[in-house]
Amino acid sequence: MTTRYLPSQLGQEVTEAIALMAAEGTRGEQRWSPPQLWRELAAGGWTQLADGDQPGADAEVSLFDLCVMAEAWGRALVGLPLLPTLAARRWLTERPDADAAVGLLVPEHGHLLRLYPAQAALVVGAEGTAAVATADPTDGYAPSLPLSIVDTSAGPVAPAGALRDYALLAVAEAVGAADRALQGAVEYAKTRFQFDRPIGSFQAVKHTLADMHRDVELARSGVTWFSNQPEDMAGSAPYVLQLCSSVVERAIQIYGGIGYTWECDLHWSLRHVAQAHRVVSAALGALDGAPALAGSAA
Amino acid sequence: MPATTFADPAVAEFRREVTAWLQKAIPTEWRERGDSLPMDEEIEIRRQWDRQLFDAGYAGLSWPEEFGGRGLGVIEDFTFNDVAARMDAPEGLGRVGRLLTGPAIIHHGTPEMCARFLPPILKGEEIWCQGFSEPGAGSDLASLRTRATRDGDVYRIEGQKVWTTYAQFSDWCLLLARTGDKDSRSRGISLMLVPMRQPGVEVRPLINITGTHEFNEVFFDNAETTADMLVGDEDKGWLVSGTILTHERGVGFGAIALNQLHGYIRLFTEHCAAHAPAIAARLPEFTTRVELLRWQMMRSLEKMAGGNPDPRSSTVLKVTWSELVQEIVHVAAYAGCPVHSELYRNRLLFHRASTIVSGTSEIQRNIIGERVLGLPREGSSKS
Repeated sequence: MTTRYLPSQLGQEVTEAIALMAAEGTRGEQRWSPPQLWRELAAGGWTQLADGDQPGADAEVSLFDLCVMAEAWGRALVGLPLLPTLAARRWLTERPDADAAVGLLVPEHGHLLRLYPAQAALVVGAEGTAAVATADPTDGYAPSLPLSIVDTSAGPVAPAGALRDYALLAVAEAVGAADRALQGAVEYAKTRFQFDRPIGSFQAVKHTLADMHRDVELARSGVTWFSNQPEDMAGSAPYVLQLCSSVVERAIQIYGGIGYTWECDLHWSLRHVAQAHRVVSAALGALDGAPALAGSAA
Repeated sequence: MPATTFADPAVAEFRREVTAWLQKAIPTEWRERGDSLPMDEEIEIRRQWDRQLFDAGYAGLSWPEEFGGRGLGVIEDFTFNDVAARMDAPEGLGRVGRLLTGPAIIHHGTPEMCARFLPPILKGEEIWCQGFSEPGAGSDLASLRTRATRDGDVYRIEGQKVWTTYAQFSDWCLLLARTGDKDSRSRGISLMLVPMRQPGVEVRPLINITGTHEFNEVFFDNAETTADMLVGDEDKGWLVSGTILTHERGVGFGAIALNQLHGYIRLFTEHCAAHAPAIAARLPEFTTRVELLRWQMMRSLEKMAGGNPDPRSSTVLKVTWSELVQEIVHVAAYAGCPVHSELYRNRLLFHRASTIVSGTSEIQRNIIGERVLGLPREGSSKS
């Protein structure tokens, strides 16, 4: 594998397009899971982005490009299963239609977590085949990363490669969610006046924001690291996700009281990052026991 | 051609070349007792090291070829420093000349200056010190008061500098002095080259926290330098010094800091974690944080090498490594490792410098807040 630190030109263009589309899709009443946005994504070929990225294939969009895209996607906090679909499609032996939304089943404490249960009609099985999934009610904690808890007979556990790829994209997505909180807090600190000054001029606030910037940067470097050395995720991804979480927590503090309410959308970011931590930990914890697909992407 | 990515096979080849050279070049007595050499022997080895670097073609790696350099870039600079630090190579006395004076003269000096000063810098024949900080001008460097007054063909210099590393060995000083009126701040500061060996210059030692003599106070009392020793225009020294300092912080510190951190992680993993539970408890987290810093550094160097430099990225790096290394030695010093506790107690003292030197953590956070995030300055009543 070639070591990559910066996205390719194509990866950058994809990222910009997806960020724009995701931002459009999240406007207005239909904030979460707008079916028309999914149709747009499928029609534009976005769900098939990773299909060509197989060993020996002419990989135009690398896994690292997908990470950069996942960060942009995470900034928009959209409750659609784009990332599990991309991860799953890299491991499906027969690719379903472009508009098929694919979820994953991830083992956790003797049960399974089903990602995006109301949105994803398929899950990927150990043999790389797609299985039909029933729609379950979600746990409701994080609408941008919904899950339900199902028993182990509910369907096949995802193959190791798909779990690993998804974990990587989910970390990148969480970095996007953290960056969204940071950017919001910076703007707020510039415009919120107390003692006749913008609160961002006070060092107590300014230095907190500086540390948040540093932590987002480090988390981003973590994504670069993991996309080059995915085996290191098991030990270090939880720390990176905690960096993301702590950035959002401090953003809420900077907003003050309003950050504690639904008037402000920061709680969506915190919910997302906390959920990502749970899902990624489960996926990485399951990697040892998960079935591997012979002859598939390494 | 300088490399623009670490993935370039030429970088791996360069790393092999440097490793092979260092294996031969590092003096035996340094290898065997580098930590315990008397000061005069240490200084002698470091002087020789400057000459060895020159003879092998490593003295001006990233200087342009027409000035005697190798015309390589930040990735090779980093790679050299990385290998050298891993192998505990000596550091030459000529560091300030190679890292600060050379680039300042190349980019802002006259052809005469280049011809006069660059060759002895590369050969390590003239040692430089950096005359920036003053007792009353630390974090607020723009308030410096050392004055240079034009008098015919010379500048006369009055004032005091502090934290002047290795002034006791230096032939020349890269000096920031006030040439504008006393309230002119950054608009009235000039950068000039001043000979240290003259009656008007007095060097007094400052013993640092670990008990060694690296820092000095330097007093200028009617010292002089000729008017053609001005680098750039009069009153325009602030910008010149700003650009060269960014370079120093980004590339100069990076590899060395990273290797100090890797050194502690290695020692913890191979030895101390088994004997000191407090170290074992923190080791996985420290390992992750050091690795994150390494990738952060490489990401920033690749941007720089690709012609897309992010001049503020060095602030993030500096704040991160300096506080991380302090946290690591703090844990180590009180963890009670039966073998290394003396070492860690000394490092506890030594690393207090990290968050102060080259811009305190507080100043770095102001820079990130104001110049990266665009937050208003302190005391401002408008956004």
